[in-house]
Amino acid sequence: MTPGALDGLRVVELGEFISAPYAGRLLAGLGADVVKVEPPEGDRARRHGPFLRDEPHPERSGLFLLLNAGKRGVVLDLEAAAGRERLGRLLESADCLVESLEIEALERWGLTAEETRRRWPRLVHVSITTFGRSGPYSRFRGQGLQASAAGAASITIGAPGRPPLPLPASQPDYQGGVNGAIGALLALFARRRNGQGQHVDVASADVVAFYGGITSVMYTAHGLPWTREGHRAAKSGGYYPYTILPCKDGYICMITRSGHPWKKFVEAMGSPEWSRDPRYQDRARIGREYPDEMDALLAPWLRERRAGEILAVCRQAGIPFSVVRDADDVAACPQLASRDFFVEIHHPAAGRLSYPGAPWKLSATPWRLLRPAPLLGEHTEEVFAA
Amino acid sequence: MSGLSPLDGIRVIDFGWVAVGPVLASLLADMGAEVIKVESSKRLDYCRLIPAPVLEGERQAEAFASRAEIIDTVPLFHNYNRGKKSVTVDLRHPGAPALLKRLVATADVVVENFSPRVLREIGLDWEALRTVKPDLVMISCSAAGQTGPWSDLKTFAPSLSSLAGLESLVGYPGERVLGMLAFGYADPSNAHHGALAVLAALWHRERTGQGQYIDMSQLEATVGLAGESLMDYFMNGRVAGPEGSRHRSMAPHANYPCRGEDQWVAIAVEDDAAWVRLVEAIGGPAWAREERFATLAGRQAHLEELDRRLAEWTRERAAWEATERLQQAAVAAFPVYGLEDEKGDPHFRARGLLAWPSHPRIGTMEVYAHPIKLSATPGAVRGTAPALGEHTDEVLGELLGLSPEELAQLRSGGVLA
Repeated sequence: MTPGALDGLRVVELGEFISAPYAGRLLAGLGADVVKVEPPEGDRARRHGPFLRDEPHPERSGLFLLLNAGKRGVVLDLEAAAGRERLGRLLESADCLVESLEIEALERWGLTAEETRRRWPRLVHVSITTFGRSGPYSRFRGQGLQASAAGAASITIGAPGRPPLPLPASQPDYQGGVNGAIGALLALFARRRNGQGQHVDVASADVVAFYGGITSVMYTAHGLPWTREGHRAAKSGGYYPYTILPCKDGYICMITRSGHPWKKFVEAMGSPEWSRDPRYQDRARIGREYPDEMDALLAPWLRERRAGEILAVCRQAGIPFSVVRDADDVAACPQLASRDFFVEIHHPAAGRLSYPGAPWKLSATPWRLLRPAPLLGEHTEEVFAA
Repeated sequence: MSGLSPLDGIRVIDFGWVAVGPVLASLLADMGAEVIKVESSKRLDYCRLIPAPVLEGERQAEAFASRAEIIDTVPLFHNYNRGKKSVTVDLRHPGAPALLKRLVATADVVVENFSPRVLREIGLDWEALRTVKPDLVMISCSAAGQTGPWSDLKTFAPSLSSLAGLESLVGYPGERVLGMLAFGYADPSNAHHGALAVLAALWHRERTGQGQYIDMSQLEATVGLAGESLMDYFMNGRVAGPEGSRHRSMAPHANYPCRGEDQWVAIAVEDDAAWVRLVEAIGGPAWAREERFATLAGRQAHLEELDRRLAEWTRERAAWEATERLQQAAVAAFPVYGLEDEKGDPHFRARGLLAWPSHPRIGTMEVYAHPIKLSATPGAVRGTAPALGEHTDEVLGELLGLSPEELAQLRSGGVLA
């Protein structure tokens, strides 16, 4: 068997839903031995779905199956002393704890960063929460929705005058996860030098604020507002187009910063009459002052054409526009197929299903998830037999 | 030794340009790596020109001449490239590959996000670079990967996340797709996913002495984040449309209007116990105590009414007032922040969201600090972004032992440009 990059690393994952489990998924795919600790009622993601045939079942939640493949799973009741003792035994030999628990639970169970440092000085303790373990809101409750709100993402999504929308599909939780995994490895590098574990504190609100923040300066430097403008970036991000427009059977995402692709696109449309009007030649003015007019001029051409046709035209002419794909288009993507992106996994309760695969192709230590998501408590005996 | 940064002693050659490569490498810089950005005045990283219209081909040389003051002062460029050194080499000059191979031979990591053909054409791809540095870790993070029919794909963050199936989820339910265009979600996400792969490969190298090549497709790393809707498709054949703020396992879960213009509070109830706490926090009105709202299924079935009723309560209050009332009852709530709210917020300040590195020529620059907080060996913003070519002589002199005469010769020959 080919080696994994993180072979030999032992990770204990103590967290529900997406953030800590996504960190665990990434570390497991890279080769770490990840033991997922669930409460007796199971990870919340088991109750989230989507469910096979829409029938709620704790072993058939798509989100759970996806995020937890490649891990072993144990059940521990941490409200009971015996459960905490077993967790202690696991942490004794672990390199890393990844948790996303409420601070009150950590305090109750003797698992605050101060306590884990005292009891297991070599352990890297990673917390992934919405607001982090320090600062005025460290005891706030939060979900991805609040991270999206606090990090000034939601304010940029949706239509003016209507409610702002969050980043879709719990994205802040995924980003908490990947940054938690990065923090775990950074702390392990530090441990190689000094022999000491440490606490890694990742707040998904910080991550969202950072992700949006580094981009927002492009808007503020232009004097453009950081706000929502429906189907386009506010003031077109400075230059038309920066938008999603409907076509015959879907939507096209049209963005270009330089003028060249836009010129080519107008040519591909047959250089219509309006393209010779000076009013429609200054992309900065169009984008900031009358983008709706331009949208309306493009609409007839777009509505007559399918997304696939438009994409072909754009790829031919080197125009970096793309199509807004739904799940079925993504599943049928020729590029993803040519790279064997989707993988099939057989799960005893959910059967054989396709899953999104590796985020990267590593030449010497390929991504691998050796097993399907654990049944609730599937490996409790195996893990604690030794 | 505590106090050392996690990546002290690691040297990175950063061929990255625009967003994903540069942000990936800047995270490594914050964490202690020495990052050498290889760039060229012949083909500027266009983030150096962002406040001005971006120009094409030969007009860029003009732009460079007339915008000499701009190129070192663009805030976006500083956010993406802080803490690095800059070496200017014209990649297309015939003398460049040999020089850059010598530079790579001194390094641990190479980062690049060009179209796949670019480094291949000039003989600086993985196959070439591994011969000068056998245990090199190299990451290429192109839009769609190094192989396949779309390997030449060019994208911006939202056009990439459109292809990945994320943008189609953004909009009000039952209405047209809007997308999340300004936020540029896919870029920092891909940068950080790439950084994780680099760290894993470095970990493997430390243990085994073996380097490796990471072929990252931004498309693949982003499709993984849309996995929930893909699983629904694979399991049930369902194709999801815009989800608004709806959530499969939380209700309420939305941004509710508050007193004042464009003021909102984000409220999420993760289980039935949290619902009971919310009902109490809003004063236990009769509607909320109805049995049909007691369970998640009931709240989902009556979501429109639930949202309308809850909005009646929030509308009477400032966003912070609603937040405090709900948080006191352990209900997830927070105001929908604008940029100024966020930057001035005491929590974000306390956690070091912003940093203000300074530079003798460039002055003080406000940048966002990386979001990974390590207790014993914290990273830090090491400085502003470099001026174009600021470290060319220093780096090539110190690392490759080039004399001032040799440097002058390379410069007049057009290699260093």
